[in-house]
Amino acid sequence: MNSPRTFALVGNPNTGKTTLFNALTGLRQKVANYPGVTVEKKTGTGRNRHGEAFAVIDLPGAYSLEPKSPDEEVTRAVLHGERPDTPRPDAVICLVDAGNLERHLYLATQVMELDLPVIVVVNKTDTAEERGVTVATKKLAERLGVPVVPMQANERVGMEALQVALSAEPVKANWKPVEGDTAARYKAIGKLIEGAVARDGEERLTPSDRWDGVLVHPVFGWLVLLGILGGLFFTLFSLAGYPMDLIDGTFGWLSSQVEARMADGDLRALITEGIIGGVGGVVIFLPQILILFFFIGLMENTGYLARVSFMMDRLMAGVGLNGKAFVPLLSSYACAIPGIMATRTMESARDRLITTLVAPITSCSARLPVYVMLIALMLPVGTAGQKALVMLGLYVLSIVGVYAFAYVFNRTLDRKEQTLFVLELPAYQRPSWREIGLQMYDRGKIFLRRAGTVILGLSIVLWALTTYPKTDSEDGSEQLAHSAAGRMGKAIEPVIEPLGYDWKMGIGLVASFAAREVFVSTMSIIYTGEEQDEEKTIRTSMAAEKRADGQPAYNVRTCLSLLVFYVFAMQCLSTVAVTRRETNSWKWAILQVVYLTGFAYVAALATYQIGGFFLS
Amino acid sequence: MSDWQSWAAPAVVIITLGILLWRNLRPSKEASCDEECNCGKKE
Repeated sequence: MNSPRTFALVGNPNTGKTTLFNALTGLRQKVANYPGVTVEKKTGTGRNRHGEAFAVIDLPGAYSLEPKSPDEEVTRAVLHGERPDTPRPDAVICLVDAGNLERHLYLATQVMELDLPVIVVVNKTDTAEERGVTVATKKLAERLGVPVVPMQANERVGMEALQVALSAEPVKANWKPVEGDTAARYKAIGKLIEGAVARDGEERLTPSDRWDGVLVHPVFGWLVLLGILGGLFFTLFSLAGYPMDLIDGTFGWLSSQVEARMADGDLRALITEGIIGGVGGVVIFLPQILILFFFIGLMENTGYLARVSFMMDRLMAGVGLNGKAFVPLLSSYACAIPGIMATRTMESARDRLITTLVAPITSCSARLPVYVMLIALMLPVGTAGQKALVMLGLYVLSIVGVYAFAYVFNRTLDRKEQTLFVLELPAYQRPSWREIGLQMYDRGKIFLRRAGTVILGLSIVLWALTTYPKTDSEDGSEQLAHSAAGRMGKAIEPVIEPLGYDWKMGIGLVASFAAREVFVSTMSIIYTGEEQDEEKTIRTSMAAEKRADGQPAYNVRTCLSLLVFYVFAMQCLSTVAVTRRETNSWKWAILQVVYLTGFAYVAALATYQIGGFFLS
Repeated sequence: MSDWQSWAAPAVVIITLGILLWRNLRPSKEASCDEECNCGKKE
């Protein structure tokens, strides 16, 4: 039996490759509106009109076959059959944007010169027509001798014609290799499309252009962005409360069921305090994670995120980075790991390194539970609006941190090359609720999987550290102080005392070096284990915690200091491992840990000490 | 106080610790790509 035919999907970034890939293969994948989202090679299978299977490789977006970044190099190498992990494709589907045909054909014509059969897909014909541009695809097909299919991949318009082309025997294009430089190629492309592209003469303002007048405006643009972020955080605090109470109640019920059915003992305590307390303490934040990704998905899906990238480019230039760094940094708001991996789309090795070093400062979703818990403790009677404002402040602080450190690294690392940032602003589109829903489902699944594996394991180990060795005392606080974790917390107390932390917080800080959200589960374990009065919740126990001098342990100063610490501290072992791999050096990974944790300490110290002048 | 629980709890802890160490120290396909963050999808 013959192996299925393999098609490679090739095109400039943001031509709708990923959308077409999804339509062809049915595989779920992230669809973004900004360039550079396709970093990894992705493959899938589809079926043609005869029911025969074919394979599709979604290659990273590229502007030409003269690679300038690592992911463009992947595209070039696969098409030349130079990658041992990927067989050379049997044919290529070249995706071009109908509105920018000339520029997109630059890559397409280079592909045609590789002696591979080609199908040309002219995508986004609808937005081109809005601008008064129509492409005579039949004329192009006659000239090139290959199928040229007009499409609107996001609406699946043109799929039938593409299926017909995929079912036929693939053919090579009637295209003579261009001798000479870029100008010569554009001249040849001009000849190819002559009479095949009609413009109606007048420059039309599309709805997208009108929206852009406000949304990327130097003043209004930023106001809109701040408004959107403020709305997001307000929703986080106001709307998420109900499902959070429900989850809290469910875990409380689970705990009481175990207590009713099991005799008192260590294993029961491990299950109720360690497992249910630790995992429940993190899972309770699921609604907020889902709301965060709903907003991110909405901004990404409508095309607004690309505008944010565009506005950020102006700021990025100030610290010597270009807007391309924004895509990895933005991904880091979900998780620094895919963010750092997305730096592969950047052309300059130096810019890649700087972006990698500062990426962990962006407020990843693992920080959200820590922030929410501390803000609630800090403002026990605060309104959702006040809490949202503090949260907004933390995000702004992280952005300032990213810029400040990027600036420092830009000044200290040798400058070797200057690169140009080209960003295409896609047309605004109605959000695809299905895509947003899928993204929320994916992120929720990842969060729960993490809670059920890493957090569960660490919670069990932490419970043991807070329980053993045991004392004869019935008092929870004495038992905790006697435990291994308690001793460790007391040992580091002199170092963290100037930051306003006691030894119990010290346990949380050390435990969360593996993953930030472990701070929350540690506090749950500590205060569930200690609490004798079952009516009290973890939050009320923490709020009631007193220092030796009778002052509340979690006062405003301490909470602020902890929040600042968590904005900067490098508390994620997985990120250290990714930095080590992406930079191919322990030196940068260790530098990242040292500079971020060191700065977090100094910043938290300053917050607590300076706060002493204003707050009790 | 249930006696069997006083050895069962440490046993669960030791097994968990073993699993955690095994998960982190075993030679993985792609050592630093943390699947929890969904970046290591390979077909």
